[in-house]
Amino acid sequence: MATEAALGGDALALALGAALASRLDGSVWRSWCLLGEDAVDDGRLWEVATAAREARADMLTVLGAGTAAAALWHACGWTVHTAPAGDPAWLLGALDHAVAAGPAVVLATADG
Amino acid sequence: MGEMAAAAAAAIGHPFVAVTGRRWPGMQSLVEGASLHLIAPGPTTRLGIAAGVRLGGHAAVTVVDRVPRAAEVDPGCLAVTTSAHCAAAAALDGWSVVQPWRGADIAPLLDAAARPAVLVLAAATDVDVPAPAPTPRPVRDWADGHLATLIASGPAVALMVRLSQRLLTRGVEVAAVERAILTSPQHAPLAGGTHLLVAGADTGALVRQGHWPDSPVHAVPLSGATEADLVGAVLALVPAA
Repeated sequence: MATEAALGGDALALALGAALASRLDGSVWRSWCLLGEDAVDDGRLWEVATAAREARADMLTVLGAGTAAAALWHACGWTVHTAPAGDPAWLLGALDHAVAAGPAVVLATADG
Repeated sequence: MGEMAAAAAAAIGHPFVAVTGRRWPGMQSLVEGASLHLIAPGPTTRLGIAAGVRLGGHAAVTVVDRVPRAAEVDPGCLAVTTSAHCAAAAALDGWSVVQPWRGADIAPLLDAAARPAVLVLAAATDVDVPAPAPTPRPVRDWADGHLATLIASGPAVALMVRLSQRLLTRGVEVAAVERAILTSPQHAPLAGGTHLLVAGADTGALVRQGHWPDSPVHAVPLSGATEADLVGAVLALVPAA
């Protein structure tokens, strides 16, 4: 299923909730959250990111645009991977690493 | 915690996720009854996480001490509070407010309540009611209390809201509730402090039934008065700041 939210915090909250639902199902499916570059401007995004770390939401992965907030993701306890958006092989490799240890974020960079 | 929160956990069904803040006074059994417990800071964030759980096909309950407007949350939302002030605000903001008198009432009431709904666990004697959260707005004592409760129903609700806005400018903290939900004594916690009743011709009956035994009551009947007359009568009771 897919859904959307106007703000980054709302989107990540929904994705975190879905990841918790996945845990109740035996962690057999994964919750993905796709965030635009402006999503990091929403302060509640970091509330949810911290809550996700404390909840050990392993079935949650974020794919974000831009690396400007990489330090904030780190500070919230997330594993951060970066990959050039224009290189599908590299991007898929980063996503493979991200799903191995969650919660994790893959930040796609414009260069490269 | 007492049987009310345990009954709430049973009524929600298993498994479910509980999303709370750092503190959840009176909710221990509810949290312990959950399959997963998550702590998140803001009520809007908690409600969003719970919406995601429901999106994933499972039940979730959010412990709150304040709520956003009903139109801004997932329509399937179920929140739980021990705050009478939260319940009063939720009723004004479009939530269904369910306040059971005993644990056995919780399941049927939740089944019947439209969502989003707030389950109030404040009336039972085994649940501590926390003190109201401090408000950033200065609240001036008015008569023997600091809170005016406006009560209305039907077409009078719009007037009640306008009156609330006028009273707020005079430093009076206002709780506004729909007349129809104040039908029995256990709903009394929805109103507090100095009660300012603004209702129809049956306002006096509401008082005579003993629902407000410990508080001074100013009854301003709506019947036969113009809006200007009513506003004038209410504001005359409240000194200007």
